[in-house]
Amino acid sequence: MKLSASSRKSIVQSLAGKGLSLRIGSFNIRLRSSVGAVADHLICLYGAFNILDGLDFIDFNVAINPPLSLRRYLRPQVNFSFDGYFPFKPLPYAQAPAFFEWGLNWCIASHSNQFLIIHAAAVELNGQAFIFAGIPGSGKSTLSAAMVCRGWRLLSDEMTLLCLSDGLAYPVPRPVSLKNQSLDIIRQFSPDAIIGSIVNDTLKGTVGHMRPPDSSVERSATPALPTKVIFPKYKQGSQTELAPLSKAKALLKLAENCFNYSALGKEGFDGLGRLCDATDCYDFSYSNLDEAIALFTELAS
Amino acid sequence: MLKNYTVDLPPNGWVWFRFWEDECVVFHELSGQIHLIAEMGAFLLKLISEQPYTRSQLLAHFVNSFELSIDFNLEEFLDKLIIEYQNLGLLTVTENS
Amino acid sequence: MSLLRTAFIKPESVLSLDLPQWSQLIRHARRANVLARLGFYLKTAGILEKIPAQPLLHIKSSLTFAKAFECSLQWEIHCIEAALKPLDIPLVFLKGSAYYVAGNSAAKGRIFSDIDILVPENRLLEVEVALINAGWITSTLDPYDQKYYRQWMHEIPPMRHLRRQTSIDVHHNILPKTCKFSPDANKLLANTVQIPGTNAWVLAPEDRILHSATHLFNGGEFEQGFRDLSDLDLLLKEFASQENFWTQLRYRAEVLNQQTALCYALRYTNKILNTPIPPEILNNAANRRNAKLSLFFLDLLFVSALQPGYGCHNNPWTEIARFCLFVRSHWLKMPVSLLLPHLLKKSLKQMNKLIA
Repeated sequence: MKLSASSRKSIVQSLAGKGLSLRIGSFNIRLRSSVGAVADHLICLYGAFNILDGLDFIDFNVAINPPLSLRRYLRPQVNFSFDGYFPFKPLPYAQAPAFFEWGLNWCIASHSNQFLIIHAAAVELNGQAFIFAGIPGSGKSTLSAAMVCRGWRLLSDEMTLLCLSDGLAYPVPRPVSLKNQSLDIIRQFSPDAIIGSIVNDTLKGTVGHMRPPDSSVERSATPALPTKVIFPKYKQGSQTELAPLSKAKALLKLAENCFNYSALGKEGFDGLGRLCDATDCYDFSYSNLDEAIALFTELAS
Repeated sequence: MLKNYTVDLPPNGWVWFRFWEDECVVFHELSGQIHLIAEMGAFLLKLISEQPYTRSQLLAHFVNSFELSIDFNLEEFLDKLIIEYQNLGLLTVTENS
Repeated sequence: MSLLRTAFIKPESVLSLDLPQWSQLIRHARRANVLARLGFYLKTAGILEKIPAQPLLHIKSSLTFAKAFECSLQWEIHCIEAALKPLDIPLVFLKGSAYYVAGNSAAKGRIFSDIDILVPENRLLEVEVALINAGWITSTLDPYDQKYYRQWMHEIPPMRHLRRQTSIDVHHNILPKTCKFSPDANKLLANTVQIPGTNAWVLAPEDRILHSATHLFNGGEFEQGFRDLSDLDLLLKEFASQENFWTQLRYRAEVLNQQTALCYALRYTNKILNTPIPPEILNNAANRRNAKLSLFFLDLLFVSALQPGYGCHNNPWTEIARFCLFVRSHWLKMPVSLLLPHLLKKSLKQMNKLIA
């Protein structure tokens, strides 16, 4: 059953009780939370995801709740817990929904060594997965969010899951994280885009999440073959420029942007090697989203 | 620096290579370090990854494969390169008697 | 009995679990830091490929990590050996790193963050200097902690490698000087064994067990309690076949003043993990603690504290037991005249943090 078919009341009840179980890409998660904003976040952005019944295997048990301390009355905070412990320090109460997203990123990135996990967004068109890798602020989320608004399938934002056994990119089409000016850029670029609540003053600045297209969520079980690895760089006023990057340099840059590279050892090196063998790699600078998307759509045809 | 040596891969096979054109990425499995190596360094590692070479064999290969300028001190360059890679644990050097 | 305990005692039992039970087993194993060890058990039992796909992914994921961890451990040991080579002392590894260099089954699926070594107390300064020269630094500790460590502890403050961010604990004994069970370190060093073909040394098998026991039962930290108990279980099973093992174990416990720790180790591995221990050895150990009442309470405490599943918000008793044992361990480590000022000083520091 899709989450959108549940009432707010029953979602709030599940979250406050035994937890709400969701199928997200290849993962089953169970979330408990007494925070109303977390329920609203799910309703706004996770409507197309399936709710699981109690008989499924749960990969990650997480909770977003205020800590039990006097502080809650002075300066309210929330904790993220996983398997019953707290991998992070508490954050201000208002950041609860974003904390869920970040915490879940961490759960996946640190416990899924069947995948090589690259700090990158992945989108797909015509069966070709494009991987946009790079440091925060390089504009990879903005670019992939814009592509998704123009009909590309969202495989994943923030992390690309490259399966070590078949070399395919596996979907986790969770909401796309947009920061600071990217929020306005996407709002202007695609007025239909649904963006959840905005949180100011986080460590990453102002943060909001864009709802993934329902069609991307519905195809969550279908992986895609990576054909291009692209390192984007948003530079105001710059030309749209795609410059080939040698495979060796691309491998090094990917390794630097890998979450679990050291946990995988040689398997990780081999996985990156196969990825670079199988793809064309580029540095990409841009400022005009329409031009960028036209170029990539052409490349994927 | 020795003048008569043989260069080989480390004995335990902890070093892995990927060669593309004139570049190479080396992964040192134990330390987890990864190195990007270009041109002459990559050429050297490509040779060593296939079989052990003596210093004089390596020098000959370099002379045959690169157009080196007259004032380029190949011997010094090679010795330095080999020490550097040895320190990174990418290859081993044994003295020939 | 918890699923995790059952799985460790009888790995085949997992084949009858349903998916919600598997979720719980994986969660508890992950929380107790024994997921990779569970994987090792299932692999050894030849049933790894028979378990359902979803939990299998998590187990394989942790086995992959354990494999990479072994690589980095090997490299770290290599770096420590290189750094200390000029000193020409036998490099004695303790705990996890010892199990690894000695090839003990207790090394399987054991993930840990620090490497522990044992050096003669009179060489401590040289070792510290050599490590500093090779890039390790003493972690930032305030002057009180520094002094506390150096004056009373059996190790110098932990050192961290600047570039690799790895950590090493340099010990000169296995218990603090102030602890009434503190053994004569020379007796440990005199009994070490060299790993053939290497410069690495480890404590004798019996001493390795006693160190593991005293670390667990006198250490006061039960975060990894279940994992540590499983270490003891594996070590005991591995060495049990050696000739005169049980006699030798008891003899070494006496020499090293570790009879109490051994008594607990045998009692609780047997109680919690069904470790096979000859009845006369087990009874003998229990009789040493002739105060039946105190044994009754210790059973309550230890059996709870060593349960996996800590923090899974279903067992407050485990946390209470762990707290009691934490206080007990301080009691054992220090005379009251030292303990009270220490705890006071610690709590004052905490208060300061709150106010600041």
